[in-house]
Amino acid sequence: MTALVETRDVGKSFDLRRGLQRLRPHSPGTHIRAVAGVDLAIEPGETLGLIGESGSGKSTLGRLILHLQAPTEGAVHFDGVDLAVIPAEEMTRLRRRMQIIFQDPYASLNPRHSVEEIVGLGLRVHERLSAEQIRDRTVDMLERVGLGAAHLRRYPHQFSGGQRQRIGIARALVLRPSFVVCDEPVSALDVSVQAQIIRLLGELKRDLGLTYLFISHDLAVVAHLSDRIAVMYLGRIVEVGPARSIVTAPRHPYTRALLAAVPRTDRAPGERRQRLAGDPPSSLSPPAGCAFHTRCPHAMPVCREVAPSRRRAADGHDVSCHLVEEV
Amino acid sequence: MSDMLLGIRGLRTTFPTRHGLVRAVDGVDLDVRPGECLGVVGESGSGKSVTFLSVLGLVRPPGKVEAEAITFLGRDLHRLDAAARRAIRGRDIAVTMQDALTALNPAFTVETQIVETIEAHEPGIARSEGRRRAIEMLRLVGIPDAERRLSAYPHQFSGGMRQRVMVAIALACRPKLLIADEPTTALDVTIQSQVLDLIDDMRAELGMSVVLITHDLGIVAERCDRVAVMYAGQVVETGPTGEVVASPRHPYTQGLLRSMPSLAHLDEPLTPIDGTVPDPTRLSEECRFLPRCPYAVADCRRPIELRLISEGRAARCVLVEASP
Repeated sequence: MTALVETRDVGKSFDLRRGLQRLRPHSPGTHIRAVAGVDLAIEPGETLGLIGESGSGKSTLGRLILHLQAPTEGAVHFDGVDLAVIPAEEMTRLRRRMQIIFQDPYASLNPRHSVEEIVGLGLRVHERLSAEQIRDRTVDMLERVGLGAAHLRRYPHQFSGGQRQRIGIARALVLRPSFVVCDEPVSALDVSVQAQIIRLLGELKRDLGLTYLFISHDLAVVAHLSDRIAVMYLGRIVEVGPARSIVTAPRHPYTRALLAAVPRTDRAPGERRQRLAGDPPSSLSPPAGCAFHTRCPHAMPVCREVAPSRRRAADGHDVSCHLVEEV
Repeated sequence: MSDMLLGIRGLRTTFPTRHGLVRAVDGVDLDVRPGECLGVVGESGSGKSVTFLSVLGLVRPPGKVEAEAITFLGRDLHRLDAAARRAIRGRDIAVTMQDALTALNPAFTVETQIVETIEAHEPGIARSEGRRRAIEMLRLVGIPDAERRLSAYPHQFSGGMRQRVMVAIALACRPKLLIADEPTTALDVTIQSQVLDLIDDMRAELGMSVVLITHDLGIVAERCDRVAVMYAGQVVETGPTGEVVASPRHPYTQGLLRSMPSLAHLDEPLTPIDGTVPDPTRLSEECRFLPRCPYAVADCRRPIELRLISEGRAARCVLVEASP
C-alpha cells in the first residue's frame, strides 16, 4: 500500500534573531531546531498517534505535514505529491483534502462569526455551491458531530468547551478531507467530555473513511485511538510501533519512562517506579550524541558522542537507541 | 471528632452574578486526618477548589461563605477574625496553586519570597537565619545548587522547578496541612511524577497532612489514602481510595472511571457520561446527577443525603442501601 502522507528526513529550524541580524552568518544558539530528521509514513485509513512532552516538536511536525509551515529540510509527500514543488493552485486544491483540528476550542473559533459562518467558510472558499447547498452541507455536518440546524445562528461563546470542539471538528470535516491532523483536540476538556469527543472522532473516522495524525501528550488517550504510535523527544522520533506493543513492550528508554509516569488507577498507592530525573534539555543547545542521554538511566559512553540511527527491532518497532539490536 | 486535623461541616459558598446566584459549594462535609493524603477529585466547576479557598478564608466579597463549622486543631476557623486566620494561613495551613508562574511574584527573587513567608510568621527572626532556612527548603525540595539559585527570579526556573519553589515556600513554616490545588496540571508527565514524589516525601518527612485537589483519578489512586468525589458543589462519594476506585458506588464516580482512557484496558471502549454538568445558577434540589444518570428512578427527584455504606464510606445516591 502506498502511504497517504510521507515525510522524508523532514526538519524545521527557527531563526531566533531579529531584523538585520539575520543577514549575518549562523552562529551557535541563534537557531532552534524544532524538528529534525523525521521519516514517517501514514497509510490510508490509519490513525498514527504522535506523543511527546511540551517542546518536543510534535505540533510543529503536524504543521509541517500540512505545509502550514514549510520545512527547512527534507520533503513532505501527500498522496505521492511533493508539497514543496507543486504550484499554488494545486496546493489550494489539495488543502481541501487535509485539515486540522486545534487544541483550544476557545481560541480557535472566531468569536464574531456565527456557527454557520465558521463551518461554512471552507465550502464558500473551495466549492461552487448555492447558498442553499452550503447551508444543507453545513447542517448535515453539524448533525454528524451532534449539533444541528438550531445552532447555525449561535456564536462560540454560547457553547460549552465540548460543543465548541464539535464545531471545530465540523469545520475541519465539512470539505470531506481524507487526512486530518488532530492537534491535542481533547486536552482542554474535562474527562467525561473528553470521552465523548474521542468517541465522536472514532465514529467520524469510520463513517467518512478518514486518516488521522493524532497529536497528544496523553499516552492513554493516544493508545485508545491509534493504530500505531510515534514517540517524539527533542524534535526527533525516538520510537515508532504498533499502539498495543508500544504500550505493553516499549523499547526506547524514553518511551518506558513516559509509560511509567502516567498515573493509573490500577496501581497500588505508594508504588514507586523508575523516575526520570531532571528536565528535558533546551532545543537551543541540544546535547551531543543521543539527545536523551542526559536523562537516560542506561546511558553509555557511546550515547554521549554518537546519535543513534534508526533501527528495526525484532518486534517491528523502529527505535533510535544504541541499546537496541538491529535485526 | 478529636482525631481530625480539619473538619468541615455544612460549608456553603455562593457568588452573586449577573445570571443569578452561583452555588459553588453546597453543603460540603469533609474531614482531614493527621498525616493522611486526601484526594479531592472533580471536573471544572465541581467546587473542589472553592471548598478549600473557603476554608482558608480566601473567598473575596461578594462571594459569601457559610458553614456550621470549619474546625482546625480544635478552633473554628469560620468564627475567627481575619487577623487570627491570617496567622494560621501560611503557618499551619499552606497552599500551592496550580500555576506557579502566576502564583509567584515575578519582581522578587525566590529568596525574598521564601524569607518573607518565614518572617511573617516568626517576627524578629534574623535575616541570616531566614536565609539559612530558605536554602534548607530549596535543598529539601530538590533544587540543585540551592545557594546560588536563591537569588534567581521565578522566570529563571523551568516549570517543574517553579512548582518546587512554590512547594518550598508553602513548607517553609512546617505546616500541619498542605493544600495542593492541581499542583501538576500544567506540567509534563515525567515532571509531574517528580513533583508528586516530592509532595509524598515531604508529607512523610514533616508528618503533615495533604489535600490533593485534582481532576485526575489516576493521580488520586496512586497518591491518596482517601478520596472525596465532588459534583456540582456537593461531595457525591467518599471512602478509602482503593475501595472507591475498585468498586465505585455513585453513578458519577462509575461514569468518571469508565470515561477515563486506561492503559490497562485498551480493548474496553470508552463510555462517556452523556450530557453536561448542570448550570450552577439553576441547581435543583433533586439529585444533581439525575439528568445524566443511567439508573435514574422516581425517588431521585428529592434532595439526596450522603448515605453511609460502611465505616468511612458514603455515597449520595438512592441506590445505596444505607447501612443501619
